[in-house]
Amino acid sequence: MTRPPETACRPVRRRLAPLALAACVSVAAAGCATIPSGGPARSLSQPQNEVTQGDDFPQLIPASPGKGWKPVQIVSGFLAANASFAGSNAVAREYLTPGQARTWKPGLAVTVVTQPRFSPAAATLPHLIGQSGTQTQGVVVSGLELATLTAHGQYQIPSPSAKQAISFRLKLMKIRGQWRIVNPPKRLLLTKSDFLRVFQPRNLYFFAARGGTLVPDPVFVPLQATVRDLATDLVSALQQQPLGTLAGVTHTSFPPGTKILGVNIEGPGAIVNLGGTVARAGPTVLDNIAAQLVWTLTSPSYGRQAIKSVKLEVDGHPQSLPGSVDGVELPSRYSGRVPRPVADGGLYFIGKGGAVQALPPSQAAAPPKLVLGQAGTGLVPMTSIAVTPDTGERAITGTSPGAGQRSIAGISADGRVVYFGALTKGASLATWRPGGRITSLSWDTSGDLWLATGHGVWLRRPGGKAPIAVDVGQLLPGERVTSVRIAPDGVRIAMIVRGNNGAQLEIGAVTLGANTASIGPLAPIGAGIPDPAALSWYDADNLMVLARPGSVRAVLEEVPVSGGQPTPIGAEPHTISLATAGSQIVAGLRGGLLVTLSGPDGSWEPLGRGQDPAYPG
Amino acid sequence: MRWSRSLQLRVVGTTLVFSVAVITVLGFFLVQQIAAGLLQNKERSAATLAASGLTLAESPTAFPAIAPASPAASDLMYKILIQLPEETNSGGTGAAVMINRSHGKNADVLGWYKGPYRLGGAIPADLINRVGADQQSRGNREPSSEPTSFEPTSLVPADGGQPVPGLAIGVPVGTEYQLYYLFPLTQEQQTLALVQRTIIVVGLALVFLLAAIASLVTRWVVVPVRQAARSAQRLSTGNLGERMQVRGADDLAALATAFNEMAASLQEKMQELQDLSHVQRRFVSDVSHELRTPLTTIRIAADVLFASRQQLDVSSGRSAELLQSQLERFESLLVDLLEISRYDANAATLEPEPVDICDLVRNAADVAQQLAERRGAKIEFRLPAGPCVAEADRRRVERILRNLLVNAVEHGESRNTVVTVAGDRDAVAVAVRDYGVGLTPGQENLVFDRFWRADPARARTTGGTGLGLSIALEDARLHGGWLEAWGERGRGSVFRLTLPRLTGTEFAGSPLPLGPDEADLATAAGAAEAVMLEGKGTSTGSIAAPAGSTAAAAGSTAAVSGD
Repeated sequence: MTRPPETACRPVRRRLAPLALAACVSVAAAGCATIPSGGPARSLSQPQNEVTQGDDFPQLIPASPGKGWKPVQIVSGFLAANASFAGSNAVAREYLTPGQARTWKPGLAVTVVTQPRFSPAAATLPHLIGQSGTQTQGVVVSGLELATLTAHGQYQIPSPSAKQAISFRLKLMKIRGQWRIVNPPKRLLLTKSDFLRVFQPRNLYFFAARGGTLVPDPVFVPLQATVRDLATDLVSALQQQPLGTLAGVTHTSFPPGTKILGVNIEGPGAIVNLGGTVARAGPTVLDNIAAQLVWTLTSPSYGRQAIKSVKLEVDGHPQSLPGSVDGVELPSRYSGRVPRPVADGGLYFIGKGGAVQALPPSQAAAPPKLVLGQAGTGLVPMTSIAVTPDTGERAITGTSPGAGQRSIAGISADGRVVYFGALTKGASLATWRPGGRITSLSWDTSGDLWLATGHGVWLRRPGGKAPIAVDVGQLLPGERVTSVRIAPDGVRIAMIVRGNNGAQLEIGAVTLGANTASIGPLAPIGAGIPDPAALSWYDADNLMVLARPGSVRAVLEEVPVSGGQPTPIGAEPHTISLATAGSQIVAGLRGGLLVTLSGPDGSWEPLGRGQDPAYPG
Repeated sequence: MRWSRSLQLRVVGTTLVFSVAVITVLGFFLVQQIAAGLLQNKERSAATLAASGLTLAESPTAFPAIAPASPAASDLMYKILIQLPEETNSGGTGAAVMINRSHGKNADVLGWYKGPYRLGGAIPADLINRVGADQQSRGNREPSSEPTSFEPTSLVPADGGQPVPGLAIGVPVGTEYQLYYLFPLTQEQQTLALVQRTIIVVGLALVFLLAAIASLVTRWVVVPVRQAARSAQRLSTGNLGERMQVRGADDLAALATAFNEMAASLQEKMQELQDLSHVQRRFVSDVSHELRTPLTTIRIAADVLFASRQQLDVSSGRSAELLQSQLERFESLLVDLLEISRYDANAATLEPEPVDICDLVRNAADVAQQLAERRGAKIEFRLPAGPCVAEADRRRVERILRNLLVNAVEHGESRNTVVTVAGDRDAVAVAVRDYGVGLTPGQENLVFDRFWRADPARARTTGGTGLGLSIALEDARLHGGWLEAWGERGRGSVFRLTLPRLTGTEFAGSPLPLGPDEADLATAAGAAEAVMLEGKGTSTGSIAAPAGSTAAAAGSTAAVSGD
C-alpha cells in the first residue's frame, strides 16, 4: 500500500501551472483573434477633424545662405527664399544684416518678374565710410516686371504702354566674413513660376449695389500650407470693404466692427466664428454674410474647392439660418446669388438672308427657327447681334414685352446704326445712331444697352431716355474701346481697348448714376494675348477671347478675370465671331458656318449655316 | 508570522509574484513584437509608396537632365512633387523633393515640400546625410537598386498641436535629387495603445485568476495536511483511537491510510503492553496474597520452634532462630510487595488531615531512637518552636519518616543523626542528616529504585527488603511532595522530604536546603557540590536523588518491619 513519494514533484508542478496556463491562454487568444471575413453590414461614422489628404499646398524649401557665398549668390538665394513664407520669411531674413532681419516687413506686396539677372556693381554705404575693414558690394538686379500684387491681393499687370523693365541695386556688406544684404526691397520679388506656386487666385464675393447679387473679386492669397490659414485669410478679407476694381460699386455685408473670433476646419466644412457688432445684426444680414462666406470659401473658381460647407457661429453660438441644414450652409443654397451666363435662352444667330434665327437649347437636333418680330424677317440686315439676358425685364423699346419675351439689338451692315426691339410677334425694330462706327454692343440684366463706338462707350437705358456717354476714366489719348461685354452680375464690364501699341483686354466696374455712367479703374488682364478681337463671358470668372480673328491662326483664349494666365483653346481657322454661355462655345467662321466645341477631345463640330452667334447676355 | 506559518499564503504569494513577473515580461515582449510588426508594415508600405514615387520621378518625361543649380531645377522638383502618388489611408503624408545638398551646395532652392506638418526638423539631418551618402556611393548604377532609408521622427502639425511620431523615408532620385516621404504613425500608435491597454487588463485579470487557482489548488492539498497534523497531535496526547478520513485514492488518501495503519499498530502494541503490565501486577499481588496463608502457618510453626529453641540442640536452636528472622523478613517483604502492587494498580488512596509534622517526627523517631541507642548514637532534633501543620496522610508520612530515620541510623556509622524540620507559607520540609559512608555520585537517583543495593555482594539476609525508599517515594508523590537525596562518599547523606501545606497545591521550593549543613561547610568542594545538587533537586521536583548505600536496605527493613 506504500506509494512512491511524490512530494518532490508537487512544488514544481504547482509552480509550472501559472506558466502553462498563461501560455495556453495566450495561444488560445491568438488563435481566436481573426479578422472577420463576413458579417452584418454596419454604418460607419465619418472620422472627424482628421487631416484630409491633398489639402496641403506645396511649400518651397529655400536654401540658407552658404558659407563663403559671393554677393551674387547671396542676392539670388535671397530672391529665391522670398517664395518661402514659413516663419514670416525666416530663411529670407538670414540673407539680411541683423538689423534688416529685424525690421524688414515685406508684407504680401509682390513684384512678379521674369527670371532676373544679377550683375555685380560697386556700392558705397555712406554711413559706413570711415569704418576700416568694412567691405561693401553692390548687385544690380534687373528684369522685366510682369505684374504686381498689392498688399490686398489684387493682381495687376502693367498696361502695354507702361515701362516694364525694372532694375535696382542691392547693397551688401560683410558681417562676420559673410555677405549680407543691407537694403532689401520693400516688396517681395518673385518669378512668375514661383508666384503661381505660392499664391493662389481665389474669389472674394461682395454684394453689388443693386439686385442683391454677389460679384466675385479675384485676389491672390498666399498658400500657407493648410486650408485653415487660407480660410482665415479669406474671411479677414471679406470683413473689409472691397479694395480692388470693385471698390465703391460693391460692398460687404459684414457690419463695421465685426470681429473674427476663429476659423476652424472640421471635416469637409469650415466653422466661422464671428463676434463684435455682428451679434446685433438681423437675420437678413446674417444670411448675406453666410452667402458671402459660402461663396468665398467654397468657390471652385480657379482651383480646387477648399471646403464644401460653412457653419456660421456668432460669439460661439451656431446660427441656424432659415433654409440651412443642421446649421450647415451649403453652396447650393446660394447658387443663385452669382449670376452667370447660361445657355437656357438658346442660341441666336443671323441666318440666311440676314434673318435672325434661334436654336432652342438642349435640342440640338431641332431645326433653328426664325425669331418673331421684324428681326426674323431679314428685312433689316444686321451684323453683331445681342439679346437681352433675362426674360420679363424692362426693355428700352418701351413696349414692355411680356414674360418670356426678349429684346434684340443689332448693328447695321455699315456699322452706323443700331437696331433694337422686342422679339415678339409683330414687334418692329427701332433705330439709334450714336455717331461713329459701332463695333460692339451688350445688354445688361437691367435692360441697359451698352455700345462701343469709335468715339466712346454709350449707354442707353430703358424707358426711352436719352443715351448716356459713359465715362471711361483711364483711357489714354489714342485709345478707344472696340468691344464691350457686361458681366451677368451687371457690375463688371470687360472691354478690349485698342491703342497705339495694340489691343489690350481690360476689366472694370460700372458705376451708374441717374443720368451718368462711368467705368471704374480698369485692370488689364490676359497679358500676352495677340490681337484680341471678340470677347464673351464664359462664366462668372472667365472670359473667352478670340485672338487673331479671321486668320488661319485664330485662337480662343480663356482669360481669368483675376489676371492669371490665359488658357488657349484651339479654334478653327478663319474664326471671326464667338458666343459662349455656360460651357457652350459657338464660333462663326468666315464663310457663314457655325461650329460648336463639343466632346471631351476638343473637336469642333458644325452646327449649321449662319454667322454672328449670340447667347442672351 | 502568518507568512511563515501558512503554506497556502506562501503558494498564493509566490504565484502572484511569479505570474506578475512572467506576464510583465510576456506583455513587454508582446508589445515590443507588435510595435516592431506595425513599424515594419508601415515601412513596407512606405517603401512601396516611395518606389512608385521614384518610378514617376525617374521616368524620362518627368526627369529631364537639368543642372541641379539652375532655376529650372526648382520647376522640375515642383512638378515632380505635385505629381507624386500619395497614400490616402494614413491621414496625411508629407512629401519632399530635394536637391542632394552635397551636390547642390550652391542651389538657391533646395526643393519643394508638401504636407500637413512643419518641415523644420521633420526630415532628420541624419537621414538626409545617409541618403546623400547612398547616392554618392551608388554612382550611376541601375535605378532599380535605389537604397531606401528610414528614420523615425517627430511631426508637428502645421496648424500647431501636439507632435506625433512619424516615419521619414528617403530615397535618392538619379544622381542629383532626393525624394522624401513623411508618414505619421498615429494609427500605429493608437493600435499599440489599444494592445497595451488590452494586455494590461488581461494581465491583471490573469494574475488574479492565477492567484485564485493557486489558492484553490493549494487548499486541496493543505486542508488534508492540516487534518493529518491535527490527528497526529491528538494521537500524541494519548487518543489512540484517532483516525483520518480516507477519501479517494490519491496521494493524500495514501497518507491518510498510512497514518491510520500506524495509529492502529501503535494502539495494538500499547494495548499489549498494558495487558502485560496488568497481568504482571495481578500476578505479584496474587502471589503475595497466596503466600500469606502458608506463611501464617509457617510462622505459627516457626514461633513454636523458636519458643522451644532452648530445648533443642544447639544447631537446631540456631536453625529455629534463623528461621524466625528470615520469616520476619519474608513477611515484611510480602507487605512491601503488596504496598507496591497497590501503587502499581493505582489503588493507593490518600487520606489527608491536618497534622503537626513535628509530632510525626517525634513518633517516627521512637524505633530509630532505640536502634541508635543500641549503637551508641543519638538522634538530634532541630524542630521549630511552634507546630508545623500540613495536610497529610498521617500513616504514610510516618512511614516515610521512619524509613528515613532507620536508614540514617543504620548507615550512620554510630554517629549522630540530625532531623531538621522547617516550614514556610506553602510547604513544610523534613531533612534527615547522617554522617555515615555517604553516597557516590549517581547513586542519588538509584537509591529509590526497587531492590537496588549499593553493594550487590551484600547478603540478602542483612538489610531491609529493598523496597522501603521506593514506597517512600511513592508516598511522597501521592502527597504531591518531593523526596530527594544528597550524599557524598565519606561525608554522609541528606534525605529531604518536602510536602505542600495543602495536598495537591503547587509550591515553588523547599524551606530547607538539600546538602551538608553549616558545620560541614569547612570543605569548599563539598559545599559547591551541595549547592549544585540542591539546584538539581529543586528543579527535578519529585524525581529525587536517593542516598542509601548498602546499609540503607537494612535500615529500611527495620523500618518496614516496624510498620
